[in-house]
Amino acid sequence: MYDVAIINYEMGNLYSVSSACNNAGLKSIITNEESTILKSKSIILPGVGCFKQAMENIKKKKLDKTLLIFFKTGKPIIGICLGMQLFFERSDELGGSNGLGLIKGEVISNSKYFFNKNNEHLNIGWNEIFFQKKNNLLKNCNNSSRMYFIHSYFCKPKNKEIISSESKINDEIFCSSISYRNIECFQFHPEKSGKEGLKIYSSLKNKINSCPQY
Amino acid sequence: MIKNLRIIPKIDVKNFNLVKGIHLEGLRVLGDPKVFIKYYYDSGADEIIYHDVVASLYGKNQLKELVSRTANDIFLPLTVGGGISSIESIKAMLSSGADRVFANTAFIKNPKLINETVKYFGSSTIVASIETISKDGEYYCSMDFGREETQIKLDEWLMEVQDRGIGEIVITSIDQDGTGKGFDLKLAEKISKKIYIPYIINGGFGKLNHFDEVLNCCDPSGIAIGSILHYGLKNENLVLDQEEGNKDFILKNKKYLNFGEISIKKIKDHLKNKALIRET
Repeated sequence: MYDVAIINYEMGNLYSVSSACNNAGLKSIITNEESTILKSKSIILPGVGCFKQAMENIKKKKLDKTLLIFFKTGKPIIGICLGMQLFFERSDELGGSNGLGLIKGEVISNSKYFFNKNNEHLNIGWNEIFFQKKNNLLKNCNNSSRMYFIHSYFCKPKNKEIISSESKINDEIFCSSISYRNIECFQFHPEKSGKEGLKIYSSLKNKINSCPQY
Repeated sequence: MIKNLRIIPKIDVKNFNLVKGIHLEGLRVLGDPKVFIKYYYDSGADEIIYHDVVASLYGKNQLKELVSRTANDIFLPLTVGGGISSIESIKAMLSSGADRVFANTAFIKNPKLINETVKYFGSSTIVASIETISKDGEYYCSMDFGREETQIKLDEWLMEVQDRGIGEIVITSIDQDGTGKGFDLKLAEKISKKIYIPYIINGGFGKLNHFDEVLNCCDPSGIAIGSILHYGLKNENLVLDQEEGNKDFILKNKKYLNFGEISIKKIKDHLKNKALIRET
């Protein structure tokens, strides 16, 4: 049995996520097989790229159903970057498309809110995260520590209570992570954010160890 | 004031050695890239650029192996290039642990490849590298790590890669590369006026005040640095691939006086004190 199933829907840097799991002592597998996923103690939905393409890949492999079943087990689910956005109801990207819909809210283009220059929409670099909640996977990180972001869209949850950290682009605030029931998502890349980011993987390890029923 | 400027060590590799030249020529072997990268990771680098500098010349690439070895224990964004020529070669690099991929020669030879790769991987994954040299007051683009000059004017090429949807550009000044005399300020101004997408500048940084100069006339998203970091470290890294390369410099333990020993932390502290950058 694996600690972490890293969901492979052919988008994103799976290698780094699996390296970060190794580093934290988490036994992980990169997979899209339903039985392997459901047997795992937790899952990570990674992702870089286009929302629409990602949803198509997920549906083609029937991973949307698997993710829903896993969600109902109450075991930890982690979403990273595009993997975070996919849990929302819909995204603006390329004329709009529906997401997994487990979290109420939508995914919006950066350019609408943050940038005054034409067409510029990619936020790339290190931004501080400001905690809005405690008792989640961020708990071992320092408040206002810097994490690595690379994204052109961001999530706007309907219920602000689920926001676990906020960050800023050009002094405008956006939601950089959420914690909702057994789902925890990060707009930044913990596996690319040096030692501070790796603490999130260690926290996941602790969480799994403290709940043997997983 | 620039927000979130990334300080990015640029690791040029030939076979399995880290190399560094002047004006992209006369590549000296400086050591095992892994030792350098580990040090930069521990001392606060924001990203690593990995460049196989002979890949497009020889049509081969050892980079995949180096990248996956690096991605095992370096948890930073890795931007990788050299010999990238197709969707397939990008897939191979990404599955080895690269986060983003850059190309120069292949994009100049076939500009449509920019649109195709951006469409496939998203603009955030595709970076254009531009190696530019000045002649009679005009800047031109080069291919094959500066070995082949073209008649393509920098102004036109900047607009073209931007219009084709590239996510970010790395601009290397061949005139300044490896000299330690500072970045080309005229070039910096030109770029900042010409494009709105994020860009990284590379070439010439040797002293702390070179950073001040350049940040006063342009607003890059990142600064790539090589010699200024590598030369302070080289002597600890005598683990060499014995196959080939100019090892004279490192084996005779020569010093390179154009560069002070400057760490990433020193650069960042300096820029923050001068209020040239701020975080978030």
